[in-house]
Amino acid sequence: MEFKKFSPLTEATYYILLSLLNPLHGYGIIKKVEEMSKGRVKLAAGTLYGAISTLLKNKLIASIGEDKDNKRRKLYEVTSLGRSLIEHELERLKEMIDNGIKEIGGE
Amino acid sequence: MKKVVRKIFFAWNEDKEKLFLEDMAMKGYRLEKVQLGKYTFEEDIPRKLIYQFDFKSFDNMGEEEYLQLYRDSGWDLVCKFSGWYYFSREWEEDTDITIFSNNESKRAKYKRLLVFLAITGFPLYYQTLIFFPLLEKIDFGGSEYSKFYIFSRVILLIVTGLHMFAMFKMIKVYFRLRRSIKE
Repeated sequence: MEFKKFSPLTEATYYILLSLLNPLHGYGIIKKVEEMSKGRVKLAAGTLYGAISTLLKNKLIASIGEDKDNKRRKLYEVTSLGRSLIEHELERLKEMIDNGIKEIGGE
Repeated sequence: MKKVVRKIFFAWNEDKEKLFLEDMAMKGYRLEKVQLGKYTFEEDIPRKLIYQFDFKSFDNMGEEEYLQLYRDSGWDLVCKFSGWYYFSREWEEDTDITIFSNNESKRAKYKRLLVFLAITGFPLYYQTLIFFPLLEKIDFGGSEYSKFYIFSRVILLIVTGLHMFAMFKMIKVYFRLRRSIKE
């Protein structure tokens, strides 16, 4: 699979994909990402709208239905392509961290 | 009591428009409606409001879902104006004061706008730059129609010029954002 087109992911996109390993609606993604990053990454509404739109277009996430309480909230989940992209990105980040530790820390 | 202010802002002057609207809110005028060059306000108590603008055209997220996302995030839709969505919220300590948390998404908004401009501009450019020069070859023989033709051609040339200017300005804004290294 060719991921050159997408990698490196921006911080926002990486966290959005990660949050969508389980189905969530738009605002649910914002909350989940904030929780995962302990309040550091706060996605704004317009940022998330643009990201969802792009991820859908590239088939990295898919709409899988609607929220029970409010039909206007659509639920999204990563596709298998999206999942492979996360794995690819993890490998890349791991390499960066390993090299960083090797060069700067370690002793 | 309503108050109408005639003023025009362009997309590359968004910051000025934002300041103008926030200043009006501080003076006790809450924005109600936007039309080309015309802002309608409703008298209200002075508030510290934050205004933000997004541009949405056709894409894979429906409008209902789009507005729900903004509502969930604490933004109220003030009004719509030809693809532009005006949002506001009351200023509070520690709340988001922007609808874009990174440069990438700010750029994406201008990209949506540029695509929209390019599509709407196409018939205009076609008319002015291809269709009209073709008409040149036809002889109208100094009739009434010929005067009308020259008049409309001048108007369209001006509109095309303005459109090109707008595109150029927006592309500049887009590339200025692109140069930022922090993402």
